[in-house]
Parts: sequence; C-alpha cells; structure tokens
Amino acid sequence: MNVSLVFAQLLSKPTGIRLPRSEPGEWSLELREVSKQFKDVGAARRVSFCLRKGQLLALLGPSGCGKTTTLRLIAGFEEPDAGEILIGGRLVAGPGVFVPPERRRVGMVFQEYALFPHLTVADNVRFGLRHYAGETEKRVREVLELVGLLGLEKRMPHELSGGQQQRVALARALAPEPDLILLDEPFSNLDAGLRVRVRAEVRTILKEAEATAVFVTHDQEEALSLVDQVAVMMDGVVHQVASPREVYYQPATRAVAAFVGDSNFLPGIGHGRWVECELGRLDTQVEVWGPVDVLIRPEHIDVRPASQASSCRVREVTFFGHDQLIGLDFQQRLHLDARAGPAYQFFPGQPVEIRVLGPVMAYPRTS
Amino acid sequence: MRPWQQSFVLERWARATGARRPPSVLAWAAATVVVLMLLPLLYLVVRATESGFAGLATILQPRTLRVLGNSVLLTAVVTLASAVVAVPVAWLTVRTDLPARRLWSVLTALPLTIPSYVGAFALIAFFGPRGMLQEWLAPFGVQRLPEIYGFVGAAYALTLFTYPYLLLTVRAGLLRLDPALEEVARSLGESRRRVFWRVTLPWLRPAIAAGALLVALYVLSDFGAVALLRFNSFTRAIYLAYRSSFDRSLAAWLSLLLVLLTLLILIAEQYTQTQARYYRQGTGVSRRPQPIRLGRWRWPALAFCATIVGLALVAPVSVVLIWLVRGVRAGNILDLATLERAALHTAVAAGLAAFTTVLAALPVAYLVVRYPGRWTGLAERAAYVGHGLPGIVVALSLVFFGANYAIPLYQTLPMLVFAYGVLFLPQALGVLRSNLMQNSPRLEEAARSLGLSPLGVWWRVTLPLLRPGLLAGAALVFLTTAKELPATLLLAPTGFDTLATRIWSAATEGFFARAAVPALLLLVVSGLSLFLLLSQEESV
Repeated sequence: MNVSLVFAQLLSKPTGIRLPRSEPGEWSLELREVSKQFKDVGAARRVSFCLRKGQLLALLGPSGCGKTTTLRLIAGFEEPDAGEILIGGRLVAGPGVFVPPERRRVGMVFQEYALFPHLTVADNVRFGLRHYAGETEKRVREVLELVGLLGLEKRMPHELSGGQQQRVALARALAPEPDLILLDEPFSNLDAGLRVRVRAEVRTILKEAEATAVFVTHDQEEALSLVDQVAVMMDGVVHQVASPREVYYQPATRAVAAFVGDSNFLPGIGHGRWVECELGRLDTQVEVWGPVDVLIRPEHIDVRPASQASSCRVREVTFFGHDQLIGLDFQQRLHLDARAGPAYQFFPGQPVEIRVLGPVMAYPRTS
Repeated sequence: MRPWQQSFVLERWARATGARRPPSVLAWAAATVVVLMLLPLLYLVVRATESGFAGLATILQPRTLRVLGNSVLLTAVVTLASAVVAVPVAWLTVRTDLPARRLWSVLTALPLTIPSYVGAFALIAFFGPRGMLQEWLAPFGVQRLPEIYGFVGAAYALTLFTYPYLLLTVRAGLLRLDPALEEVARSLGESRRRVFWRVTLPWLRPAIAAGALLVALYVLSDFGAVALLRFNSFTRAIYLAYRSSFDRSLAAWLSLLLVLLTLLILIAEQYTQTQARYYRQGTGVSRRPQPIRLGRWRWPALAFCATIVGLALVAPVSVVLIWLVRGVRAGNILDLATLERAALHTAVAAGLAAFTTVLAALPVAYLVVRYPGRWTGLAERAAYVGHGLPGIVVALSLVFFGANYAIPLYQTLPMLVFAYGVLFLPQALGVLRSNLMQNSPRLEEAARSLGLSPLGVWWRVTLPLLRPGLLAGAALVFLTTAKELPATLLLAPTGFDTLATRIWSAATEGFFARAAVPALLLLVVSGLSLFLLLSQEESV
C-alpha cells in the first residue's frame, strides 16, 4: 500500500485527531478520549478536544450524535465511563476522580433557560454568588449591565420575553465568573429573526466577559458564524476540531463535508496532488491515491455564459438576492450546484462554461 | 348573590380592569357551583342569628374559648407534623434510588385509605386501658399506660392518617419539576443539599401549601378521631351541643366560629402565594432526572419509611385483623348479606359524589386560574369554605333545608351526594387548580390560533391536559367520601347503610369485632382506588 494513501486515510480517520499534549493551565478545557455509553442514542465515543482560554467552541452535529451528552459530561451531570476531563488544568473527571457539578466552576445555559420561576431577575443572577469574593450587589449590576437588562431586576421570569430570558440565563451563568460557560442549544427557542441578533449579542457579551464557552448546536450556520473552534460530532465520534473556515474548506471527512455546507461530490481517481474526474484534472489540497470522492463547494464553481457548443447547461436558478444557486447539467449526465454572484442573470437551458476555483478536497472511497 | 348577578359583576370587573372576559357559560357554571356551595353556610347564618345575641353570649364563655384554642393547636401541630413526614417521604420516593421505591410510594400513600375513626379505634384498642399493649405488659407489673385520650392521641392519629394528602401533592409537584432547574443550581456552585433548600423546596411551595391546606381543613372538620379520642375540638363540641340539648343555635354559633377559622387559614394561604407562575416555559420535552444515589443514607431512609408505614398502616390494620380473628373465635356470625349491601351503597354514593364533584370543580378551577382577579379569588375562597364546615353541620343544614324547602329531596341519595359535594369540592378544586397552573395558557391560545373554538379548545386541549388532574381529583373525592362519617350518618336515606355507618354503629355499641370486616372492606376498596391514582401519576 502506498504511503500517501495511508496518510490520507489516517487524516480521514475520525478518532485519529492528535492534539498537542498540553501543560496544565494552557487549556481552559481539555477532553481526553472521553466515553459514555448509553442504551439508545447519544453515546460519546473517545471524544477528545481542547479549548484555549477566551475561545468559543461549538459542538456541531445532527441530533442524537452525542453532543449534549458531551456537554453534560463536562458540566458533571453525567459521569464518563472512560477518559479524562480537565477544566482550567484541573482534573475534574477521570479514573477515580469525579468533581461534582457545583465544584467545577462551570456556568450552564439551558435550551429552556431554566430560570428559577420563584425568583426575580436579580435573585436569579444573585443565586450563584453566595461564595463570590467581590461585592455581590455590584456584580449583579455589572452582569445585568453587560447583558443590557438593567432596570428589569424586579421582574419575574415569566414577565420577560424569550430573548430577555435568554440573557438572564446568560447573566446568571456569567455572574460567578466561571472558568467555562456551557450553552445547550441556546438559540433554538428563539424565532429566526431574533436568533441572528441574539446570537451576535451573546457572542459580544461572551467576548466582552472574556469567557471561555462551549455551545451545543445542530445549526451549522450558527456554529460557523459564532465561534472560534468547531468540533464536528457524528455518531458519538468527533470527526474534526478546527476553525470554522477550516471545517468548511478542509473538512476532515466526507461526512463532515456533507454535513457542513452545500457540496458536490464527484467520483475520481487520485494521482498524488491531483485527481482525474469528469471535470478534468483538478489540483488537490492533500495527497490522494486511488478511487476518491472529490468535494467541490458550489461557490468554487465559476459559471460564465457560453456559446451553444458548450456541453454544460443551466437546469434551474434559485435567486437569494445576495447570491444565486445555479443547478447545472454537465454533459447531460452530471448534476452540479454552483453559486454565483447576483450580477449575471441566468435562465434554464442557457449554455454555460464552468471552471473549478482553487485546489479541491478528495476523500478515499470506502465502499 | 344570584348567578346572573355574579356573572354581571365579573363582566363589569373585567371591563373596568381591561382584563380578558371569561366566557359567560363558564362564569355562569362557576357562579352556580359557588352559590350551591354557600347554601349550607347561609342556612347556618340564618339559624344562628335567629337565636340572636343570646347565642353569641354562650359561645364567649371560657369553655368555648378553650374549644377554640384546642382546635387551633391541633390543626397547627398536625399540619406541621404532616409536612415533616410528607416532604422527606415524597422526595425519597420520587427522586432517590431508595430500594423498592415503587412499593414505598404506594405503601406511604395507603394510610389515606384508613378512616380517622378506624385509626383512632385501633389506637384505643392498642394503647388504651384494657388495650392490647396493656394486656401484654400486665404480667410485668405495668398497671397504667400514659393516657391515650386527649390531645396527644388525637394529634398522633390525625397526623398519621392525613399526611398522605400532603404527600400526594408534593409528589406531583416533584414529578413536574424540570431537572434543568436543579442542574443549573448545581453548576452555580450549590451542593445537592443546598439545591434542595434553595430550588426544590421553593418550587414545591405551592404544592406544599395546597397539601397543607387540605390537611388543616381535614383536621378542623374531622369528627371521628376527636370524638373517639375524646378531644374537645370544635366538631366534638358541636356534636355534643346538638345531641345533648338539641340546641341547634349553639351548634350553629360554634360552627360559625369554625367557619371563621377556616377563612383565616384560606387568607393565610392566599398571603403566602408567590408571584411566580409555575408552568413550564418553552416547549422542551421533560427529561426524567437521574435518581439520586443515597449510598449509606439508604438505611436511615429505609428505616424512616418503614417507621411511617409501620405506625400509619401496619399497626392499625393488624389491630383490626386481630379483632377480626377474635370475633371469629368468639363465634360472632358475620352478617354477609348486610355487608354486601353496605359495600354497594358505599360504592354508589362515593362514585356519584366523585363524578359530580369533579364536574362542579372544573369551571371554578378554570375560572380561578385563567381569569385571576378579585371576584374569582372570592369565588374560590367561597368554594373552599365548604370544607371548613364540619360534616355534621352541613348535614344539619341540609336536614333542615330539606325538611323545609325541598321535601321531595329530603333523605334521598341526591341530597347525600350534594352534601358530599359541598364537603369535598375543595379537594377536587385544589388538584385541578395546581394542574391548570402548570399547564401554560399558551397551549390554549395556540389551539385557538389553530382554528378551534373556545369549546373545541376545552375538549381537545384543556381536558386532555387536565386528565391526570381530573382522575386524581375524582380518586381523592371517592376515597374521602367512602370514609365520610357524620354527613352519611345524618343524611343517608333510611336503610341506606354504608360501610362507614356500619363501622360507627358497631364501634359505638362496643362490638369491635363486628367493625372489623367493614373496616377491612373499606380498606380494600380505598386501596384499589389509590393504586389507580398512583399508576396514573407515574404515567403522566
């Protein structure tokens, strides 16, 4: 077997992600091969990732992939079957060690916010400040100001809008200055219009508070736009931990590529740093050998009007305003999706010529 | 107030405050129920005032004030003791890995099925002079046991047989608690113990208040236990006044005082209600929390539950069984045909009462929860007053009312069922109310927006959501009715003997063995209903 092929397979092997071993204190959060078995769905298998202080990480994956389980393992609501969890360099779960949730210094924001219905906004925020070193009242005002809710201290939770409840939950989690904030699908209860705004607000608040945070989400747009690092989970396994840009442009596995963003997959044959496929010879970002699936993002296909002689036709056009999605028939056999700027007006049946921009990703064919 | 006036006032209030107006059908139904509930009280006032201030003077005697003090003390002590028993038991059976959790949750609720007079009788038969304990200890030279009659005996018996009311409401509250609330408190740095005090207990406050209210009202109106244990609280004093002198106005004045006491409790309960709305927010699916591991605390926990069950269930049942065996040995013939008839009568009366009472409570509960305001608050308090009226007084009122105004109904089954309704509506109301409070009104609004008429919403959303509450309410009313003694004693149609009246007559005549079989039958019937109630609760 070719050495490069081995390398390519290693790269695509889900559990094979090696992160640098860290000195204590370097990472705010570190998971080492953490596993938790469940009867039905939601198991976590040898989950590993790290997070630097002040960074935001999203656990992204389809429902039932184990991302919420991972979050609950970090929070201490579940005990791992194997592996180690370190928060702020301190071992909180591992062989013979289990630190209960209240001593992990971890703030939690639930999907349903879980505001205490019997307490006012201020009392909810004050709840975790019993052991706070500084001045409690000052801190309550501080965080309420941070989330923009000053003046609503006396309100009861049910008297607040969804977005306000969200921010109270965030303020409550931030108040004791935890080492880590965990947010479980925090935006899924908000309507779409509000979601984008609240998302940006939450990011600003977390960055301003210099908080380290882990989000759980199934919404790829949310993950890509919100955080510094994305950990993509599927079937309990972390496939990739990388920056949003890298997850999008250099997905570690075919499954990640298919889950994050729109994608075209073409069969091809790898010849090292290039592949042979129906669109011709394409340069690749990594070395690949043998039968592969070639990933081409729609926006990496440049579409231009062409003469009738062209073998590529427009099948359909979906106009979004800021861009448009163009369905293409290539040589009457191959369907491709391309994304183009709104300037050109395309119409079905129109002959076009296409060009693939930049080097592509390719994944060894497994079956 | 006439129904039409009630609904008119409601509407005017709603207009004045800009609040949503309740549908007139609902307002009418609720107003009718409330007025019917007030009927016995109105007669009471009429009877009392007929005698004028001479009657008032009699009740201001020190002897009467002592009765008042007795009642207050008994109620306070029993309610507090019930909470001390019920809250830990509820927590252990709902949230922990207590061994045989399901079994304990049934066993600890079962004392609900033991009528207080049966329990009191068992207590006397065990601890009393010439009781079983005395018999056993006599060879060791023990001549006299501490007095079982009076306050200690009454408080002990009433606590053991009324704490399940609190237990059931607290259990229901715990089952509805969103585990995320406790988890978020944990991650905010609170230990499990502190989370219980700062989150769980405050969350349970409405449930505890509702249960405590039931217990307090039960204690105030209990007749069987205090009569048998000879503790001079209101009900016994009223009964004695009625029986000895046939002085209905004194009984009426004493009853009015008792009603006043009930009102005070209701006001206190109102005062402690928080502003929080205890319905789940959002649309998430309720997660079941993981049971808390007790570890080495398992043993004290088990001992605690076993002690409660032993004292409240095993001991009285054993005593009754022993009396049964003694009766059979002594050659007493058990009159099976009579027993069968009594059992049938009990089931029919209690079943009718459960059905009508829940039906009547429904519009009142809905009005109170969904259209809160001054008038609906008053209506609720008015509906609760029925429970503050001792059964004996309600019965007296209705005997008089029937004899004067409704002769065709006098001493008929509908009249008896009506009396049960007046007495036990608050129980159904309490359950329905806390159920409704935890169902978000958003759901009903969503259904309206989905094109359902108000009636359609009732049928397809409100009622299905309320089903556990309706069943729990009906089961509660059935149980209490089957055990009810004084009203049955006075209002049952001639020859309509129930299990309760059989037990009473046998016990008062001193044929303890003859009381044993109906007592056991009553326990079995009640036990079955309770089993239904609990399995319903678990499946929600």
